[in-house]
Amino acid sequence: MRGVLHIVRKELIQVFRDPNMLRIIFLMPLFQLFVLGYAINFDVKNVGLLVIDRDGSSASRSLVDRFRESEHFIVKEIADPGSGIERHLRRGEAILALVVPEHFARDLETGKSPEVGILVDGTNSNTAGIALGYCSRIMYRFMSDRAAQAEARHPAIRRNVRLIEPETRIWYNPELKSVYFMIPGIVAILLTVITMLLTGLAIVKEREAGTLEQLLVTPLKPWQIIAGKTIPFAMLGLAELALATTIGVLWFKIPVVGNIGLLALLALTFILTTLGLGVFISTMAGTQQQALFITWFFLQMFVLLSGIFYPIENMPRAVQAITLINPLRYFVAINREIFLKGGGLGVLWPELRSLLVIGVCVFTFATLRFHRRAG
Amino acid sequence: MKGSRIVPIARKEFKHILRDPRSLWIIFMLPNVMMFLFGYAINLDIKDVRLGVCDLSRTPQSRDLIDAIDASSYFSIVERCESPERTEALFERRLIRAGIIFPRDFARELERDGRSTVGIVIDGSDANSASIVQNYLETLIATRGSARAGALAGGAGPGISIRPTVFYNPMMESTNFIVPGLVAVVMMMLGALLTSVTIAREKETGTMEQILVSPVRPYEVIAGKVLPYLVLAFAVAMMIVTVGHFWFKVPMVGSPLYLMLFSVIFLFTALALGLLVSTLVSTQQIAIMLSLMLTLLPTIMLSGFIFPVASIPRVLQFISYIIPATHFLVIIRGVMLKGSGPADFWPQIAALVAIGFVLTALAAKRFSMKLSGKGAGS
Repeated sequence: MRGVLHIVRKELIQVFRDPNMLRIIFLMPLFQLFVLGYAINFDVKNVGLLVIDRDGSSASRSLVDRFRESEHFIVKEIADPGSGIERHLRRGEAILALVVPEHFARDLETGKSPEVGILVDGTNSNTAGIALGYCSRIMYRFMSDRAAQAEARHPAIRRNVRLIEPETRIWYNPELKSVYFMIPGIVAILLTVITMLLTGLAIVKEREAGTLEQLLVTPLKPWQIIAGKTIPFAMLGLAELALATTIGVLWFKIPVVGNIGLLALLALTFILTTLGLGVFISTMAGTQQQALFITWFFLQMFVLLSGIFYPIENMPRAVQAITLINPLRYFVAINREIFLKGGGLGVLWPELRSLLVIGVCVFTFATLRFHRRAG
Repeated sequence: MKGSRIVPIARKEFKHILRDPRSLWIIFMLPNVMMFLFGYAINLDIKDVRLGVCDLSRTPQSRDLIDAIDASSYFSIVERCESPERTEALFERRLIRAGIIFPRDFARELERDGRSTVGIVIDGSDANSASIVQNYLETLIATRGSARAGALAGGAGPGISIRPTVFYNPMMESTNFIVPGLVAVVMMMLGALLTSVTIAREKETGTMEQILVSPVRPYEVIAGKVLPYLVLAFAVAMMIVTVGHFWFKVPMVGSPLYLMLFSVIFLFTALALGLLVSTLVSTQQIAIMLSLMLTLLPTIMLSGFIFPVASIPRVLQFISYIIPATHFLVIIRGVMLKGSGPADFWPQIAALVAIGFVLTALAAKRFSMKLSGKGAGS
């Protein structure tokens, strides 16, 4: 046990000796939290909308005003470019163009349905779809308000316009604040970087410098070396988690509904996997650069298949099956559950079980590989 | 004469790369694996979202709307609940992502006042998909639902029709959006990670002193270090663009030559960023941490890869604009999907060139400070 402690101490001294390293471990993540926590907006806002009003009537103007009042669009009225509208979209001046046809007002009065054209830049299919939805709702409301006014003026008219208004309640995160949703995700990513990359690098560095052989010929057993190389980064990772959580709660006012102690416990089971992967990477890589690229690979896989940015439900079944072995997936779910919903161990048991299985498998496999290469 | 010193440095760096086949293998394989996996995995299209419906009104009007929702490819109703409590129970057990509740007097109000409300509950813990689901569901109910209710009442429908014309991606497939984005993200990270260790490695192994006492100028070292990686990263970039085009069927409407040309400029900025990191720190370990932290999350989150830059708060948009990937994303999507040329995206080209120059100048300056011994000791 004393041997382990010596290595732990040595690793910690090495980390703390370089002020740059400390800054990167503790300041960079804070910076990322502050910037990225605010950056993400899942709602589609301030989308550029070009308006070509070929009618120029008071009716067409009041329709355009509806768009102007909406927070979703930034309306830019332009002179009719004829058939050259597409060029504006190609230059990225806007992603939508609304064309109000001639005789718009007259058609409305005479009961002929005017056809409003919308040109859409479909490049970003998601934004385009949502923005189109907003357009049709704005126009629908415009029409039903007009009908209501007409009915008020002429009570004799038979009422045949119906408006169904959805009243949405969103649970757990009522304002759909992306901060609440992103910060647990970012915290999970940072924890992965610290534990996986630093563990891997710590071992590979010794191999590169040739000091790993010296360690192996000492009376220290391989498991002691692994323990000594992983414990310091587990400690750093947990310190990082505590710091980030504190910031999340105090600054971003994330309502921690659940139990923080439980979060720490589950974080420990999570880093079992990432530390194990760190050891595994060290057995694969001969140089720090190789370790970097392998880590990068795992990180990208973990992050993009975790459900932080892209919903797992939307993935094809085969890929969904792959996400089942992604530890970050479970940890993100755990974070959100504890931060936002307040679920206890009862709810989180499936996640804990999966993390334990993955962690034990990965760590055992990595240790065996390390033994083999050491022996 | 100037070129003559760049070439030997470049050749030495090339040997470094070739001597290490494992790194080379990783550098070529990883981006391909990522492309294949993410090309399939990443999908923001909503399809068959599980819904629970509680119809307290039990009228032709409510049934008609429920049928319309069920018939849409976006949603599938998994259970018609007897009570709102049942819907909420399904909801808490994560069996449905959203619930719809028709109030008891839904139809009566609709006929009496011409308008009525429908309750929706959505699981907001996954804010991303929640906002997409919210949007589609609300639009479906407010427009198609209202129109059908109007038709049931013998009305003439909404009295205004929308004719959308979708350009560049007519089927609105998210692959066409994601794959060029992935190319940009992978190139950005690969470029920065490749060069980040080069100078730090020289410092660690002590060969930095040898360079310092040699007559080479700082920019020659910089150019010599960047050149081989530029060739390497360019090869990788073209490989994944090819995969995107031929495998994922992302169109290539514009000229591939433009794409190649501007890829070089973009890669240059990414490599320069890595190099700057390398001159700033003293060990490979720190260089690796720093370059990973600087590139991983910002390029994914702030560049417009997923979230449109316009929707990011204004203050943070400034950060978006100093990320090279932001500009390259406009270029690559423009060339591949829209058939744009330099006339359409010259501001982005100018931005990339400017960022590249600033980063290289900073790296060269840091490097020459080291040369004249003014730099922090290493």
